[in-house]
Amino acid sequence: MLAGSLAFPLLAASGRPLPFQATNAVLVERARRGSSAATEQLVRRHLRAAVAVALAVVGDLVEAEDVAHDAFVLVFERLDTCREPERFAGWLMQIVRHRALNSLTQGRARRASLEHLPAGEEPREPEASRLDLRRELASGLEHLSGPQREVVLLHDLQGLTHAEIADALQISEVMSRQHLFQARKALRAVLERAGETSHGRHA
Amino acid sequence: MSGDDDGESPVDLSPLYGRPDPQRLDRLAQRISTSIAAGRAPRSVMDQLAAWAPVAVGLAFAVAVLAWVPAFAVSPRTPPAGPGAALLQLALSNPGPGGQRPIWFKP
Repeated sequence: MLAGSLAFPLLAASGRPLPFQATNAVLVERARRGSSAATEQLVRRHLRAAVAVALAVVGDLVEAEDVAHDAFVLVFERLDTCREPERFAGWLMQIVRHRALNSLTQGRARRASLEHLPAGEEPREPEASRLDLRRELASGLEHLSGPQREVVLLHDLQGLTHAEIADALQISEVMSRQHLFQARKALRAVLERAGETSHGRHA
Repeated sequence: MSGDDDGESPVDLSPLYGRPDPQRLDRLAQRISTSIAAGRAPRSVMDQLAAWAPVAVGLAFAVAVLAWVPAFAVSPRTPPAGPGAALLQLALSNPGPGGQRPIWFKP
């Protein structure tokens, strides 16, 4: 586990590395003193992970982004209560999970609409098979454990490394790899079954 | 996708959630930074007054109580005066077992 001591490659939205690669602890300390640059670095560093962790709970990207937004605002309001700044990521993700669960219980979560394509996606397959695929993917994700769902979304959707995942979820890299392996295995099984069913229907 | 794979190719989740969109993420980061900055912005005078109102009420209450309490802090030889005197007379009318009354007390 990295416990926030490793400076991750900081990527701006453009993908270019930021000039100063500070640890979480340093950035938290600077943000506490009112540095907006440090605040922004912390937001950009952990945003993909926060969205993926929220997505693992609420299942809808728009809602996950709202949850991540609210969690970040709350975290920076309470930054003085962060007792272990080097474990900022783990603290943030706990708050993200908590807010995501609140969102679910308040019925605000909008499960991924299976009838509509995600923003920016062009239809490439016949409508029926695309809908089947989306349904199967959603169902497969639903059947994963919470940590497996988080890891597969962080790795395969958001593109985080196992080191980054380990830091964000406060688990070991080995555990991250195990969760990913199990999650992919389960998802592939679901997709293969769906493929066989689909072929059988079209034959 | 990240480079440290486990020998298996990633599961394509884009049919469900779309492909990661850096511009969308950038807009979200800006929205969050703006909200955080708004939370830190100096508040207006009225907002600050409103935030301090409960403290002011509490202080006023404490001052009133402190101004009233000396009526009880009387010498054993001096009869009490002020708004608390009647209440003190009432309290002393039943001092309890072993209780002592000041010499000015007349039941």
